[in-house]
Amino acid sequence: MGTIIHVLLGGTNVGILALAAAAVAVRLLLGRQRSDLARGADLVAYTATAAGLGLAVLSGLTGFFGTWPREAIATTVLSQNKTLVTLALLSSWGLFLFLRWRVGPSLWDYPVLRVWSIVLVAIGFVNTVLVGSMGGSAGLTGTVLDPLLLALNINRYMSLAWGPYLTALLIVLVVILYAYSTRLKPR
Amino acid sequence: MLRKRTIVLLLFLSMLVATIRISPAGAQESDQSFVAIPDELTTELRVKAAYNGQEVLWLFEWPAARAHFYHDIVVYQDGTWVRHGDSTVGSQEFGLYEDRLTFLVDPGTVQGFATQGCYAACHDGLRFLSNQLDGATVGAHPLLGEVQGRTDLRKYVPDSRAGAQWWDAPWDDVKSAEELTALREAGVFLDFWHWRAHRGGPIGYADDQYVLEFRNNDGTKAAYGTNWDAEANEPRFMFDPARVGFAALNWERLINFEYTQDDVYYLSPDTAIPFDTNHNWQNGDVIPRRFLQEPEGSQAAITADGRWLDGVWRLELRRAMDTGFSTTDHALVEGRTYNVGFAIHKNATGSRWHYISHPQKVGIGVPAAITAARFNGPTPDWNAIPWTTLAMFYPGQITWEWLTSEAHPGAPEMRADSRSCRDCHGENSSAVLKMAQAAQFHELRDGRLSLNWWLTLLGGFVFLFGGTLVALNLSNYRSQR
Repeated sequence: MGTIIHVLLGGTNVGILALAAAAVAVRLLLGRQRSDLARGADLVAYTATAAGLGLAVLSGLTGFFGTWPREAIATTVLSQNKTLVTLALLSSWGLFLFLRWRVGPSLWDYPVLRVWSIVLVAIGFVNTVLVGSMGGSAGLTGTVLDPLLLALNINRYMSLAWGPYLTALLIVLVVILYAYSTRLKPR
Repeated sequence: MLRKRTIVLLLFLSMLVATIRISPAGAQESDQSFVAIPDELTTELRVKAAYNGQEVLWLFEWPAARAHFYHDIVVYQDGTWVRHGDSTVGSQEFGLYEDRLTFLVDPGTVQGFATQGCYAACHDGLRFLSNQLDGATVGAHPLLGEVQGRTDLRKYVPDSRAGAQWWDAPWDDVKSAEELTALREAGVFLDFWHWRAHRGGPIGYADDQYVLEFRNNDGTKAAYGTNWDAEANEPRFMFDPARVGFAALNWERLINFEYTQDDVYYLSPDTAIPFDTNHNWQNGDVIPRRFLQEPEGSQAAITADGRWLDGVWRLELRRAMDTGFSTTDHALVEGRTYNVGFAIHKNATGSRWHYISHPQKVGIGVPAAITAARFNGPTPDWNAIPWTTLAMFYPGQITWEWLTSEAHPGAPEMRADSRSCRDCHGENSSAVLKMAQAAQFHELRDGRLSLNWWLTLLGGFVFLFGGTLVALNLSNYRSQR
C-alpha cells in the first residue's frame, strides 16, 4: 500500500513540477512584460512549484517510510543515489520558491535572479525526472530515460557521489563569490 | 549586518577546512570495493550432449567478441619481472585473463541445487564479494585454515555446514572431516567441470573438481602449475628458443592480441626449458606465469577441444561416463536425469564475474531440458543433435544467505525447497535480464553511506544555498512582499 501511495504521489509531483518548469520557461520568454500572460505564467510557476514541492516532500516521506525496509534504503546504492537526487530536487525547487516568495512577482526583472532561477529550476527539473526514473529502476521496470542514461554513460547503480575535491572546489567558489558579492552589495 | 556576514563566512571557511582535513581519507574510503558491473548483463550459451555408453560428450557455443586465452604473465621491466593477469575485479585491464566454461553436476543429492542451482554454492564471505572474508579469519578456521591451508572462501554447499536448518549454512560451521568424507561417499557433492582457455585448454584438458565444503581439486596434479620461483623472484621456465624460436613473448604483441591459438603462447614440456637468469632479457619480454602439464588421476578425466572463431567459442568436452572416482566425480548413467548449472566467463574476467544459467535438467538418453543423445562409435554426429539455448545472466552479489533471508520475497519457497528461481522469475532472455538488473540493484546492499556521499550532499547544499545568497546580494532587489 505504501508503495502505491508513493508512486501516486511521485507521479503527481513530477507532473506538477513539470508544469512549473514550463511556466517558468514561458515567464522567462516574456522578459519584463507585465501582460496577463506574464502574470499568469508567474502565478502558475509559483503555485505549481509550491504544490509540486509539497507533494514531493510527501512522496519522499512515503518512499522513506512506506516502501522498502529502512535498512535497504540506506545500504543500496540505487536508493542512496535516489536520496541524493531527491534532496537536490527538494533544495532546488525550495530555493526557487523562497526566491519568488522573498522577491515577489518582480523576480523576473532582475537579471541575476533571473539567471539563478533558471539554474535552480533546471537542476530541480532534471533531478525530478531522474528520481522518477530511478523509482522505475527500483521497481525493476525500464524507464524512458534508460537509453539516454546509457548514452551518457550514467549508471544509476553505481554511486553518483563525487567525492571531496569537487565539494572543496564548490565551497571555495561559493565563499569567494559570496565575499565578492557582499562587497558589491549596495549599503 | 557585518556580524551576520562574518558568521556566514566563518561557517563556509570551517566547512572548507573540515573538507580538506578529511579529504585524503575520504578519497580512499569507498563502499564500492569489488564492484565492477559488466556492461553486458546477459548472454547466451548453446549446449548439446551425447553419450555412447563409455563416454559422455558436451558441445558448447557462446558469443565472445574477443577470445581471451592469455593468462597470468610476468613482463620484464628494468631488471624485474612484473606480474599482470592475477585475479582481479572485473575485466583485466590488458585482457590477460582466460575465458572459461564451467558447470556443476548434481545427481539429486545436494539439497537446494535442483531448485536454486549455482546459488546453493554462492555464500556471503566468498572471495571477491564486497563482504569477502579476510585471509587471517579463514586461515584461523580449525579445518579450512589450519588443516586445509585455505586463506579465502570459495564455493560450498549447505550440506557441508552444520546449521540448525538445512538452509542455514554459516561459513565457519563446517562439518567434521569424518562427516564430510561420509557425505562424499554418499555422493553429496557437486561435480565441477572446469574448462579454462589457458590453464589446461591449450593442451586439451579441462580441470576436474568438486564442491562440498570448498571448491576442491579432484586429485593432486592439475593441468597447470605455477611458473614462479618466489625465492629467486623469477620464473622457473622460459620458452625454448631452439624449439619455438624465441625465449619470451612480446608485451606489445600480447596486449594487441597478435598471438593466435595456433601460435606458441603457453609454456608446456614441449615448449619450455629451465629459466636462464643470464639470458639477455629485454624490457617487454613476457613469460607466462603458468606452466601447463599433463594432469594425473581424476583431474585428467576431462579432455577438451576449444576454438574461438569469428566471435564464437566452440568447445567440446569428453569424459568417461563413469570415471571410477566416485568420491569426486558423479557417474553419468543412461536413463537418469541430472541437475546441471552452467556458467561462462568472458571479457577477461575471473572469479564471480561470470554469467550463470538457471539449473537445467539433463537427461542421459531420457527427455529433459537438455537430452544427451545416444550415438555409436567414438564421435557423435553433432549436426543431428539439436542445440538447447540457455539465457545466461550476471548474478552480481546475490548469495544463498540473502536468498533465504526475509529480505527475499521468495525465501519461504526456497527454505521449503519447493520452487525454483525460474518458477518466480522466468527463464527467457528478458526474464533473466530483470534478474541481472535486480542483482545489480543488490550489488552494494551491504554498503553504508560513504563519506563521499555526505561530501556530495554538503557540496550540493553549499552550491545551491550559497548561490542563492550570492544572487540575492548581487541583484539589489526590492522585496515586494
